[in-house]
Amino acid sequence: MIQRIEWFLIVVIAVVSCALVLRTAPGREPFLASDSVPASNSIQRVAEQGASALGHDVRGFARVVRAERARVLRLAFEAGLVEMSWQLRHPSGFLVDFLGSGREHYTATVDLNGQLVELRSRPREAASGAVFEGNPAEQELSRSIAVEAYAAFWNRRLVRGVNTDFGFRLTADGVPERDGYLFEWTSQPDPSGRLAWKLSYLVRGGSILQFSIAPIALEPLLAREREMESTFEVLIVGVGVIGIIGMLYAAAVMILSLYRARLPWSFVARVMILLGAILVLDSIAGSRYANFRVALHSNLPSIFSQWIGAILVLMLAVSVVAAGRATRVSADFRRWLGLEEFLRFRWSKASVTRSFLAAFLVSPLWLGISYSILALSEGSFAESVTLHAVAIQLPPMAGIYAARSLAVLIVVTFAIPLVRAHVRNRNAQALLCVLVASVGCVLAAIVEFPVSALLVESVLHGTLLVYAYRRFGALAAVLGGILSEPLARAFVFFERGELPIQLWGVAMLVGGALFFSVVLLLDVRNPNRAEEQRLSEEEFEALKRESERRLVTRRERLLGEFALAQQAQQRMLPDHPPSLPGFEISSICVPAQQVGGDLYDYIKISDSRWALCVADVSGKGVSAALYMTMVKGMLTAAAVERADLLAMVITLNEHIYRVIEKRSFVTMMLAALDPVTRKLEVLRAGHPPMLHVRAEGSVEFLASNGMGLGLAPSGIFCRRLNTAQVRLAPGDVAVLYSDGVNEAMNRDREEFGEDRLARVVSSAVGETAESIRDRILASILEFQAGVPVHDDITIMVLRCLHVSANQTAEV
Amino acid sequence: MPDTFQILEEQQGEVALLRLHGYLDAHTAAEFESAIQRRVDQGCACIVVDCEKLSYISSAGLGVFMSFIEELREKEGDIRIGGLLPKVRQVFDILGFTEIFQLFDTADAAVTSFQLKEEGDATNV
Repeated sequence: MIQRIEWFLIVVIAVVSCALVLRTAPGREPFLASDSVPASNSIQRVAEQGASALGHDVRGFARVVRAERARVLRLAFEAGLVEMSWQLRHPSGFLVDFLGSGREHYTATVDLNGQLVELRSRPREAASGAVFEGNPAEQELSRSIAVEAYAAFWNRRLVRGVNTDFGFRLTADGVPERDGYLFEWTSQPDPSGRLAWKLSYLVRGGSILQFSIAPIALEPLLAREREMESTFEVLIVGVGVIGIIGMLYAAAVMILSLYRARLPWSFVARVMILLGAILVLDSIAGSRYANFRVALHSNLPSIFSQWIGAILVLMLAVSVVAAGRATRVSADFRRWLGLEEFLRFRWSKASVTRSFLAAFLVSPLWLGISYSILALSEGSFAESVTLHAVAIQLPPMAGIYAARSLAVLIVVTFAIPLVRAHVRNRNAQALLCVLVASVGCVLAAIVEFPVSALLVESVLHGTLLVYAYRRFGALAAVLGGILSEPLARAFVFFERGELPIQLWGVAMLVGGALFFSVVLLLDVRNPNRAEEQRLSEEEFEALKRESERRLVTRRERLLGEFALAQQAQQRMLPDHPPSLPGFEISSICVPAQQVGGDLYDYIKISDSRWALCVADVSGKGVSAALYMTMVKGMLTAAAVERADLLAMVITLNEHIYRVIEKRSFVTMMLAALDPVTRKLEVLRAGHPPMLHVRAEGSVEFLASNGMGLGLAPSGIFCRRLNTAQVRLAPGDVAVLYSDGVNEAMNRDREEFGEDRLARVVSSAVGETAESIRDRILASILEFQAGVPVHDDITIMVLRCLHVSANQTAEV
Repeated sequence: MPDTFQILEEQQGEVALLRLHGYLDAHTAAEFESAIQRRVDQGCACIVVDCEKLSYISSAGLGVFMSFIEELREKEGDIRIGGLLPKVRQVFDILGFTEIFQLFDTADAAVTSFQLKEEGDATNV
């Protein structure tokens, strides 16, 4: 039933997700395709010159345009569009003012409709290999190209559609695909993300008619994009994609769990958890990317969407963690949607595994919160743009960016236990973390590469998170995550003008240190913690000795517990037999070890009848003893339900078959006695037969057909099940026993056997039930003298008295 | 001890033949179990246990048979038992194992019964 619900949920969510994606995704066009900036006269002039310079040759145009970019730009320069001061005034009124200040820095001031925005650019990487030749103007021009290339490098794919990667579409023979204005080449946005260059030309009949170059402002385009693809549509696609992937994962889990028995399960479980983790990490990166794009606009919907994105990711993470936990706890993947597994987390208790899971759990939330705060702070979005642009720019960087979560996990699983194993003092542990982070920061500064900064950030954050979690629980970890990142970002933002990106690590450290001081402050105030820290070496030694002493006494304690268990089990057997008129009963159970799997009981099954029962759970020792108590309970319950022996045993078999492990079973001899009629109905379930010795001495082993309980389902169990009947005469003796009696072995490995048993009982047939019982036991013990008792021995003797039935026989 | 427990393993085509010697009780059951487990892990579903030299079996020993039978039958295999001594046969009878397991007079007969079935399957295909 539960499985069906889970399948239903999976299918519904997957269908809804697909619908969301399909409904929202199609019908988008690159927004530049239909865009055109009217070329001014001067630009047209340049274009014409450029076109003439190119000789109207459209074949291999891509190559030529690429090679001729500098030339075209120079043409623009010569036409007065680009001046010495690097001031570009676009016909639409935007003023772009490049100021060259040596090889290290370029400052561009963009006048966006009266609002001056100053942008900085560091062309070092792009310009370092460039050779600047010619007159100063040309040198500056070269540099400008370098700046632009750098910006392109830096911000590629920043705005969807702008990035054509110089790749205009050509037919197979190198001709532009269609006539009309084609924007063959669009530069990448400059470092502000708000300005790009556009190289456009007109192609008609395979010839270039016009050719233009112009700076374009992206701001209106961004606004345009927002119209086309609303924040919520982005969000919905994100939800859909996460939903589809998540449900595929769920379905895989469900299907695999069906074939659990045939799979190397622990391995499969590990793989699935790993896959789940990758999925979550990937979703985190994805949602961050989506949120980043939305975060270009610091408005309420985008902040809201960040939250929703983070919560979605969190939910996915929770499912994965619940799956991991369910698998670990119950070895059953099918319960993976059962969030109760998650709710059962003891948040306050710290262990490596739980820390790992908690870090997993809190990180998406923490990201969501921190990004929301970031989006709220005016102007800070430029930082996130830059940082993210780095990640998006280079695939390896993106990988490392996504790997920050992985770094957190690695730190949690490996580094923390390692540190804890070797460094006892908690403050030293904390100090070590800070030290490691500092070294990382220094390295980052030396290497001057943002990758290391990101790694340091990850490690530091992971350490902080885990440290906080281990000491104060999940809430502290979440708060720590919330606090430290914005602190660091605030710091960076504040110092933005001067701080290179390599010092991100330093910034994170400052944020982290602030957080740490709060943690430590709280820590000292916590009286229990303070107590713990004051523990001296001597006290520690004393504690150690104490624990060793405990270990020594553990064995004794265990033995004591066994004695208690033995008593408890003996108490489970009936104190005394029922008083049945005309009969006397005496039973004994001798376990081979402290506790055993044998059992006897007397149960009243109707007003007139009593069931006498001897049962034997396979195996011996503790496991048999535990099953024995279970069988006793089931027997009592079955007897209440059914007065008929057959029905009772069938019910009992069903219950036992359902719960007992495959290798175990129970054999049972049931004898229902009606004291008035002296009729004995015997049911044998895989048990040794009942011995019936008549008063005159004749011996019979009474066996009905029936197999052991818990071996087979009802169908097979009932197949040949029947009962046997016997009428006891005064002086008759019936003995129910377990196989510990007939299989008792002597030194020569001979078995005690049924014959010996019959002889012993025959010889004592006139004696009381108790006496017969003791004789049997004594002869068994004598027989196996010197050999350790090898199986539990249970004997129940029923004797029909010579007195009349209305006299009560007290035993 | 004259009767220490011993298992001799043979592979006869698809059938794994385990010949048991001596006493199969709570102590030796583990050895028997791991022998079968090994075969099952190797992908063998048809197992014949030769009990001709098995002089004693306890409930723990019987439990070993039970712990594999379901899994093997799901794989369309079986455990078949050949050559039980009368005393051990009696234990099987008392417990009702004859309802669950196919018993054969000799291990060879048990092995043959598997091979016949396989041939039958082959001709069906």
